[in-house]
Amino acid sequence: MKLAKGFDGNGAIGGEWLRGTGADSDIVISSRIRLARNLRGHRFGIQADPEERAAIEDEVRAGLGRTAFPEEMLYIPLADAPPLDAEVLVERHLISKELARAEGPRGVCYAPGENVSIMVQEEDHLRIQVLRSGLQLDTAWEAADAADTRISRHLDYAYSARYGYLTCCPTNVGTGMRASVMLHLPALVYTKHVEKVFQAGAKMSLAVRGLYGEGTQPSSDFFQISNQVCLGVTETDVIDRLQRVVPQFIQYERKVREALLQSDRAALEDKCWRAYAALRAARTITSEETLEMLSAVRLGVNLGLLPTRLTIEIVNELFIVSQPAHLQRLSTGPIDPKARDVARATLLRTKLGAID
Amino acid sequence: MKCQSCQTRAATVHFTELLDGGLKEMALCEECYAVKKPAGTDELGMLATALGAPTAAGAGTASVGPDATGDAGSAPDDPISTTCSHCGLTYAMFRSRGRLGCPLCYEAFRTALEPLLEKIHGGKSHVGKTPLEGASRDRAAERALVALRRKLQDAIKQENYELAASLRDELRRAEEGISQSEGGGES
Ligand SMILES: [Zn+2]
Ligand SMILES: [Zn+2]
Repeated sequence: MKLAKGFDGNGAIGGEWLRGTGADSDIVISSRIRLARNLRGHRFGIQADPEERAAIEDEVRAGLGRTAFPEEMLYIPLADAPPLDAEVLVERHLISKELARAEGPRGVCYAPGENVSIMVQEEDHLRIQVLRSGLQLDTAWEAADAADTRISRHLDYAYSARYGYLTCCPTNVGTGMRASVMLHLPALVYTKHVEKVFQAGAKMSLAVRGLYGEGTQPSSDFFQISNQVCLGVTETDVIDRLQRVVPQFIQYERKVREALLQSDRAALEDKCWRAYAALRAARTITSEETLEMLSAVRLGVNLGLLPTRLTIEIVNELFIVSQPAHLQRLSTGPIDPKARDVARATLLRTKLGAID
Repeated sequence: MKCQSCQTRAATVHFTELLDGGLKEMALCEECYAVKKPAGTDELGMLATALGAPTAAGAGTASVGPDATGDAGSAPDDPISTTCSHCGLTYAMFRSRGRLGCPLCYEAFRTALEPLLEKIHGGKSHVGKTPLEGASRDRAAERALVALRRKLQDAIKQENYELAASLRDELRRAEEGISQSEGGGES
């Protein structure tokens, strides 16, 4: 494990999970498995004093250092890292906002390809996270399971035969596993059918969340579906269930896309091309508008309406690198929101211009 | 409109169900809905609601109960005053923030937590992964217990009730053995 002072990766390109390679990656952006683990004999972070928190970070870091991972991992102690780097890690989905904005001893251990990350001292002592492109919860679970087993040779987990892995929040106790997929459902949002996805999810005790949005109304075309139950189920039960259910949402979105193409192809083409044109021409653009335009462009690429040299990987990456911390990182000094919108427009023009 | 399941009572619950062919609008009576709805359905916004947090979905969610711990009415003492001797967390503090203080809180607050866990998860005990017989502890007994529980779940699924009954007995004995050896809980 190599120690890093901050995020040294190439901020201009995304992690491996953005490549758009997995199954159904036209609709499923990514699959994620997260395992919550804690050390035996320590308080959870919320209850621990600063000395204990420091001891926990040391212990976890040492254990991770002894663990034989398939590739050399990087470790960033976040207490000493620049806050901007922490925000970049959030935007790259390597850590949570909560971990980035917390205080005191904490860190992240991740693989250079950004498919695996282990948050240290988030709500739980460890949160092992595996990301995969497309619908690949099964392979994501295999990787998370393997990483967890490797780590458990060097760290003694809090576990009880009755309750399983003991976690800070009782909603995670048992398997400690949260399996989720990030879906792009522009046609369902456009035709106002997305509410049905929420309802169906609720009926199957799956949580459906709008991504990026704040309120209850979906403010973007991206949704996350995850399991809610961790106790009394096996990990593979949960994953099998999601792997069976998610394709039905996918089919639903595809059917509506098909119907839109048939009923009003010109309007759909117009929407996608206008979005593409806006991103290539804008001189200043907000993150909200970028999200909306990129979503339309992504739909256009998947339906074969836009130039084929524009790939899903390029579009997926633009979602990540056009976010505030990434833009801030590209600039030499601090930038205000107005300058950031200009920087965002420049980045989009350059990236999309380069593929002509 | 008649209930789509029993075809006799009036349909009062309307919802969308995801079946093999896609989404299907369903209309059922209360009785049939109670049988058909998947486990855990009412636990959305789970913890907050289960804990009876005032922020959760308003007062209308009375069915989940304003005080989940009230279900443990058979418990002799008031769980609110219980304290985890290992980390110092009181049950009242847990209720206000929804987070436990240490792994041993699960034992300290067991009576109050059990109904809560069942509300959240639908299940009572772990059947998933078990840690390796690891770094510093022999996990063999724990592994055997979880494996036994999984066998019981399968037997029930296959409606092999005879096997299930004997597994249940075996499980009870094994659980007693483990909780004795776990005792007050070392740390
Ligand atoms: Zn009925
Ligand atoms: Zn405790």
